[in-house]
Amino acid sequence: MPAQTHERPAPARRGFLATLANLGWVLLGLAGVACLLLVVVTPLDLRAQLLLGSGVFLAALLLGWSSQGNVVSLALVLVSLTVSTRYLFWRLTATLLPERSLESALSFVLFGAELYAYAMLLLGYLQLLGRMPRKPEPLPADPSTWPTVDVYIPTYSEPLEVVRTTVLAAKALDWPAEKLRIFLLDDGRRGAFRSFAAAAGVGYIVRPDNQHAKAGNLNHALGKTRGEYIAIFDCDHVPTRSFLQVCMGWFIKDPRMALVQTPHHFYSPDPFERNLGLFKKLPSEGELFYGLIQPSIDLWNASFFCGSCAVLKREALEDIGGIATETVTEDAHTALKMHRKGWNSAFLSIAQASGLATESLRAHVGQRIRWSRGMAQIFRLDNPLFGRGLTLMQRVSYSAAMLHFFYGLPRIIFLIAPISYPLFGLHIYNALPLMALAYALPHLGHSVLTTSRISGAVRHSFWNEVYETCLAFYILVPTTVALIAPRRGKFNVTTKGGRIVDPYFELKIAGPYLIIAALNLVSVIIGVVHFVRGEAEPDVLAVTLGWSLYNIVILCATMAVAWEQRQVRDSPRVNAQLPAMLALRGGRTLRCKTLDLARGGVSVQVAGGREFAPKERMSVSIFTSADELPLPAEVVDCRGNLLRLRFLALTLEEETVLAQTIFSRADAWVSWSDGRAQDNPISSFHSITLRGLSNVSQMLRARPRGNARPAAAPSIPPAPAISQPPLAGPETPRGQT
Amino acid sequence: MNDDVRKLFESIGTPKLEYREVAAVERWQAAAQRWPLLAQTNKQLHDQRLTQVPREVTPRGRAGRCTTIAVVSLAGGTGRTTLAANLAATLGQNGRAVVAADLDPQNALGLHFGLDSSDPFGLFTPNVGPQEVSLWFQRFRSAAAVLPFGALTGAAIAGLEGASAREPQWLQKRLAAFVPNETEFLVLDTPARASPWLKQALAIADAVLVVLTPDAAGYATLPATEALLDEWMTGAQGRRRARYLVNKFDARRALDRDVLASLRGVISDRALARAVHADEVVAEALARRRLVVREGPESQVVAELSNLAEWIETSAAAMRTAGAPTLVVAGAR
Repeated sequence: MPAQTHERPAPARRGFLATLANLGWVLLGLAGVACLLLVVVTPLDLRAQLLLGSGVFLAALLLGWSSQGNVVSLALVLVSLTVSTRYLFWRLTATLLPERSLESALSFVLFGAELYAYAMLLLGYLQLLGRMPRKPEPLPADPSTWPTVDVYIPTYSEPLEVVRTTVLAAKALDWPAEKLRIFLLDDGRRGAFRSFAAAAGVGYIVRPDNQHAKAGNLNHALGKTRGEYIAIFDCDHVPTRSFLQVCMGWFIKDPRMALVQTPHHFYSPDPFERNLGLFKKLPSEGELFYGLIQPSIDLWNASFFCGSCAVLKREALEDIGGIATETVTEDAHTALKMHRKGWNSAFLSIAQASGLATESLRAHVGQRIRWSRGMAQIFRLDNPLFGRGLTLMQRVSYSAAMLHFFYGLPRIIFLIAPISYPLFGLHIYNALPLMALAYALPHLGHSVLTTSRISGAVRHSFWNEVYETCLAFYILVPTTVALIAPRRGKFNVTTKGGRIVDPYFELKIAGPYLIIAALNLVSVIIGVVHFVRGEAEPDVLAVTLGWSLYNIVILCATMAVAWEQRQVRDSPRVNAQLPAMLALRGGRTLRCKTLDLARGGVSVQVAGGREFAPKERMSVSIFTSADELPLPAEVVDCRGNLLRLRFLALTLEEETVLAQTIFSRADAWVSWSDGRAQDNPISSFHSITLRGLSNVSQMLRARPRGNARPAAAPSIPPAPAISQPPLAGPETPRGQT
Repeated sequence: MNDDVRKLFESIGTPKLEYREVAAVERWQAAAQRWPLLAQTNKQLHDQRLTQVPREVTPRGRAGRCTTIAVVSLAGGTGRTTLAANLAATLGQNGRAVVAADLDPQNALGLHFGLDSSDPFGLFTPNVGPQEVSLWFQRFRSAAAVLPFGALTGAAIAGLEGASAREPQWLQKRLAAFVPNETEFLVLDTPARASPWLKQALAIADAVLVVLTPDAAGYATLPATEALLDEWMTGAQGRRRARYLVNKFDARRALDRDVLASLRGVISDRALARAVHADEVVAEALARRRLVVREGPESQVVAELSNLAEWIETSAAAMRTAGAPTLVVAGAR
């Protein structure tokens, strides 16, 4: 934003005073930095460090409680960084011994992992310095001057039931009909999809091959269409009717705007939410990224494309030669190329589309493998730290996003580190345990505290550990391979629309954690035995056992995620309270209110005390801003005044109205996070412990069969077995299939 | 802008942002195009509005201190009388002092309240004194009282019509004499012909409710209705104080849906009341000489009546004060 220049009436004198003032600020700044550096490098004895550590921590706690303001947040970030830097400096100078021994080598490895965690913490804080609360811009008064928009809905192997909803709801987009074209891009070249597109009255585009997967599909369609703007939706991401009018204003306002991205909202639970019973109680995994990180980096013009729920400018795409095909995360790479060419991007933190979350842990892991592989490929092939066209903060933001995906190895290191002493007698941390705690605990404590303050609304404390542990293993090999040989590796599509019939334990995925958890458990047992027999250093044992126990808690939660719960419904229900009416046989009507809606049926709360016979038929009208169309239904269940109805065979028109009733309302996702608890590190950790342990004990008692599998799951490369770290650094997950 | 967009904009902090219901307008226009009679009527309405001559506005008469609502329809069988009766009852249920007056010689309004249509007492009965009036109103314990037309012979009715045609204030004076002072709302059930009572009712009404059924015949009466409102509604903003209501709406019928959609296209959303759904309980209630709110309290119709009553209650004050004479501009809706 350009600053305003002021007229200075007496130039010379004012100029001199201004320079003096500026000089004063600079000196103050330098003095401040010098003070912090002094704090970082000054070595202290044990007692002094304990006093300093606890004192500063208490002060930070009090400061945090006293005010929720931004200045205090900034101060806490500075304190946290200083404390962490002090810890690392001490580690570097006082605890590493460059000898030639196994212990020494291992200690360097552990230090490397901690250095990575510190770097991610630093990058995280840098990214979240400010926030850009972007709002929709108004469009011109006359709709005949609005630009043309093509809507692309790419699909490959997803089932038609899922894609139908998206296409039918897209028809409700509020944009002049002559300026809107919807296209189904079918890489599967399926006849059923072709006939559906014809019946629905939308375009259907196919190509002879599947080169470059989704990117190739999109590029092919670019060549066949003419809209000035392209809105892209994954085949299960359903837009609201106001999507375009909310997004397009920014393109009119800024001619160099190439991308407007909106959040990926999910109306179904992901594996973590479903298997741990958390749906809608806690922020979901993607909210850190879409709720905090993207709006923050938007301030630096660094928001990037996430593959769906976005609008792109054709001119900008043509400028960079179409959607990027060199990597498997074509979306981030496309945005990077556009930024390099000086195009702008915007992020609107308003959920205007919603889709299906990954339906099984297997599918989830497959998706994350692809993202991590792709990000590593970009890091290798088109590194944002080098090359022309990017501003400093854009480089920082992209690098942070990419480097995040290298957490595999550090996590594993942290998971196995504590077994080194009880099992093998190795000292990989060359310092007195009490001294180590005196330095490390403040570092950890401040990280947790400050992260909770900054991102607690979108990610509760310690859940980071669970998410990253779950995937650490599986992204390790792909990222390493991608770094070394970036052009290898295929695009594997995340399956959507799967159905888990019976509960089962995803042994193939959880296997590694079982082994690491077992190792840690064995380590604890042996350690206790040594302790009782007085055979080892009790303080070192205490620290390693504590660390192992922490690892076990997190691993239990992770294994609980692998215990797949039954998901009986084909189409997830969406909670919505809308006025509705039942038209009964005999000509009577009945007032009611919907509770939840799905493709297959609806739950309503009826007025009055009428009894319903099972399979009684009626029609349901749900009142929205759109024109009314009754839907034929029959009674499934009736309890008190709660009625559950199942829709009978719907015509295409009826199906369209239903899809639009559920998904097209502009305010459909506005109150999604109502009723959520605030973040509290202690209760969050407590909750993780409880859920993990209770699910694991359930699992052990139930003796699950490891054989039942969902249909059409992607393949997962084999990976070694290991464990995890106690640092809470900001994470950058992304939404994309 | 509809409710869902309004809620969205409020939640993101941009309540004043503009939104254009582009898709809805296209749908409504398409609905009219599917039926030649609807399209023809729309064209007629459009032309009529263009040629509207600005007229000087005469100040409005009042029927006392109450808010007067005239329920009007030029076509028969629209359910106007039933609507007026049940609307009055709903307002009464909300604790308001309501009088429903029957201006239709058919004298059917009272039937909904259990009255006998052969009872001679009524608004148009000659030689009625103040004691009789107060005695009459005492029989109504519930908040909604009914003032029937009265059982008159055909000759008597013709004579009264002639007398009132010569005296523009006739109805106003009559109502002022009959309606109790503490009445808050007066609902007038009008006849389907353009009789002098209908015209005078339009002249004194604070708000007019135009009732039509969702068929082509009802829709085709719109231009004539608008002309009538333009001519007879006095006070400022004339036709703007009118609300259109589609009655006996059955969304399972394609024509019903298209008539409503077409209407939404030509009448601004502000002037369109929520459609009242077709429900057998309405006919059954009358057959039992009861009101719908009592016979079928869980019916959707009750929700729509409540909505209507709410609109009247919240805009009562504004409706009453919209009386300062200003020039009506041609083409104003």
